[in-house]
Amino acid sequence: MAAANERMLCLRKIQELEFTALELNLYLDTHPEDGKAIEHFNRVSDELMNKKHQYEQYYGPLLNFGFGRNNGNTWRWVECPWPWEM
Amino acid sequence: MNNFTFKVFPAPLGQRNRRGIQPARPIESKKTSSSGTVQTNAAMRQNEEKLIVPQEPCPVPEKPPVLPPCPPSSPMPHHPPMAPPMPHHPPMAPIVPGVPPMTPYPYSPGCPQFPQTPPQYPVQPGYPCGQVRLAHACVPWQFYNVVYSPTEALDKGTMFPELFQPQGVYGPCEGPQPCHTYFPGGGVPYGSC
Repeated sequence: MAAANERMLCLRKIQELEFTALELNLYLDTHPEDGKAIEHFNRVSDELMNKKHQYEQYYGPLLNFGFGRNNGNTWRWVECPWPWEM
Repeated sequence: MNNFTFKVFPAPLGQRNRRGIQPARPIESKKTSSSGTVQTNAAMRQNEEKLIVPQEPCPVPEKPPVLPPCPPSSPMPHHPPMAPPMPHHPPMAPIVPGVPPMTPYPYSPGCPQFPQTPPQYPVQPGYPCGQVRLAHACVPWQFYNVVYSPTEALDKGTMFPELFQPQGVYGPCEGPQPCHTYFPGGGVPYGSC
């Protein structure tokens, strides 16, 4: 139960960082020369990548292909629970 | 030289062609002899006269009405003078931190639940929105100042505090809540006006 809770917390953190990165993405579309926003976007992007990598290390891939590696000797994509099973 | 006879048959009795014109009077048949004299075929003429019935005279066409002379052409009306130029925008308002107070929107004089006086639109910081007109969009420029944390941004739906407008704050008739919440004496159901 604690592991599932920790897993959800990690997933929630990824969702938060993704949303912030998207907001900055939209802002920078109209403010492409805002240095503070670019710096914030890069910082959030790095943190998001780290969180995703950390999540996939412990709980399995977030996406089926193109955005992560398969850690282990088995195909973890089908072993992981679906979002409605968590 | 051979003799030739030209004969014109009369039209049937009382019949006119499609254009309403009486057929022409039959021409007497003439026979040219070898001697060059013209002889009338009396017997044929008698037979033709038996067939010819005096028809009603053509109706006399009415005289075309005499139209009055054309009036002298009047000069084209002059266009009204050009509208005066648009007033200049007021100088830029000073940047005021914080979200400006919300005003009743939309304003419709025909709706009884709305105020009868035009609302005082807020002057957005850094943008001349004081002189707004109908159908003129006014989008203030966004600045990157204070932002929400990722957790708070996901909860509020935006990471910019100036864009945070929860349900019911944007306008008096937003959502299912009745207008009498904002305008006493109103209460028209949402969407009926």
